[in-house]
Amino acid sequence: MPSLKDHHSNTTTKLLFVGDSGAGKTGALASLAAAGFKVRILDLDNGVDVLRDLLTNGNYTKDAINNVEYVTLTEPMKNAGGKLIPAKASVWQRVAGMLGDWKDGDINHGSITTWDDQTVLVLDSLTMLSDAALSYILAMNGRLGQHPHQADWGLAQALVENLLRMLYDEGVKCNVIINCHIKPMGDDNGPERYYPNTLGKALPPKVGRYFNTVLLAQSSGRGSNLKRQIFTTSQGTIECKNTAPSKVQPSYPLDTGLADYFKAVRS
Amino acid sequence: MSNSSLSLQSPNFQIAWDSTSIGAFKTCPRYYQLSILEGWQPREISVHLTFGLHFHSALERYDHLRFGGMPYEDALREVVRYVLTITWDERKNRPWISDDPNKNRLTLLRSVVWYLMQFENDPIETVRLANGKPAVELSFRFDSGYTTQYGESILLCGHLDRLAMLNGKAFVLDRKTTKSTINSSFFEKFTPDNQMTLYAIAGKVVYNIQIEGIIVDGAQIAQTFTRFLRGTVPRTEAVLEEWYYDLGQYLATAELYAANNYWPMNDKSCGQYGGCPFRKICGLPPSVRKEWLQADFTRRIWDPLQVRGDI
Repeated sequence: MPSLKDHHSNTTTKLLFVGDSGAGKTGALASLAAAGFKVRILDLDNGVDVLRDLLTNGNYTKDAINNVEYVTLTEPMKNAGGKLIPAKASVWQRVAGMLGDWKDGDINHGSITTWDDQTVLVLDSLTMLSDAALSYILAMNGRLGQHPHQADWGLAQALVENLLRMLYDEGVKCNVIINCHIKPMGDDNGPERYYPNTLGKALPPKVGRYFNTVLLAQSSGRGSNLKRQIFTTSQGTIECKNTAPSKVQPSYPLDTGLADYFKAVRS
Repeated sequence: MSNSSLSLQSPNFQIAWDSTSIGAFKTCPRYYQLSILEGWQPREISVHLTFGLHFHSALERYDHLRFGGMPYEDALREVVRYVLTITWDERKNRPWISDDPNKNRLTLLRSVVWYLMQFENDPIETVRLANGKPAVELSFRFDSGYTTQYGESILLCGHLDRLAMLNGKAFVLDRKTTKSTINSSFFEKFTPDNQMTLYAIAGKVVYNIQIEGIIVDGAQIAQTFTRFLRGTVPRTEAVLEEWYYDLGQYLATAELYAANNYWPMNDKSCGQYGGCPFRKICGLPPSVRKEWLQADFTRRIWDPLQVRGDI
């Protein structure tokens, strides 16, 4: 029987990183690269430019940018009767392919199950990943670009949930960060709450259970008073959780926060 | 009656197992004995089986015609003619009669036509085999890695409906017809599932292409409409390995039963799937069962080594 002191949460973080668009989720990865983690990003939002800017503006060590690799996966679009629709739906399969065997040109990192705890897999973002799952189902059924049927939602949700389950599995020893937008959802029994922005209403409340950590990126103020923070504890109706409440701060500054958090939970 | 799937050393033991045989044994050893080893089947063939066979056969026909270069409209017309032909009983000079309002000649024809209309420009393309034929109704067999106590290799075998490509990735497609609504719950029924797991393993082992997974090509057959929905059935390596390990346990157990020529009844399975067809037989005293079997059932040879399409 393993000892609790050896639990993998000491070395592996499975993080759902939530926040509104522009809150700084992608840019926050810079601190992990600066801390020496190998950061490998599946960029579905086509938005790693901000990370490049941060890692080259002199605020982080010069070689930190060498720790970041990314693969941008987006769908080509086409015009169909004045409506812009995906020309094909390949992102979902390409994501699955990269997780099973990460190849990018001459680079071959193999399956994510072979990665160590000094590596961070980043999926940016769950929102686009969910759209990719739905497009995949529609394409498979010969209805890409059409309005989804009721059953399509359930199938796409199952795809996303299975992928989250796979990433949460103990077999994946590397750290995992999934960036995620949030959306308000009400139910009959209580006030509106914020949940990860993914497909439908059944899946969002379940997403958090596939992560041992949920952190919130949030900005407040404007202009020179703008303050960006990472919260480790629940804020309002946004639920957060962490693996070491006695060790982590309630909040961290965004520019060092992820590295600070990783260090704290491993101490 | 000879059955090439049976061991020469242990005549009651299969050395070639398909998903039907494995599933029957897992369900109930006695059911397996009666339906697979002895080959008893009800005299009246299930309407669901007949409908499914015709549906598969018609779509297989379409695939062959299209691969032969026939234009869509011509292939569609040819398949309609084919369905009308296979559902015509020449001997009785009348059409196939089904008293099932969901599954009959009309709903079969409608389902085939609607399927081919929805998937006229199918994003999932059938794989072209090395011999130029479409990869439909493929028989497969491979060494399971397990052996009998006499050292005979035990084979795993079966038939895949279709091997196909979606966005350059290969999948095993399995067609299923049902009266039930097809939604995510319908697809969840296939995990875990003996047949799908065997197909996932077969796809990886037998064919020289990387199989991404399984797509269930579902058709909901209602009285007034047919609705189609495809969904994926996930299988991780760990799940495949567990199934394979369990298979070894089942095979060892089956070999033991075969050596004793006694197949115990699992009376917790009698009510499953609408009721076991042998329930009435098993409820009778052992001494009279054979007579009742002969009266109510017919026999056929269940030989998984019989080839259907291309191998």
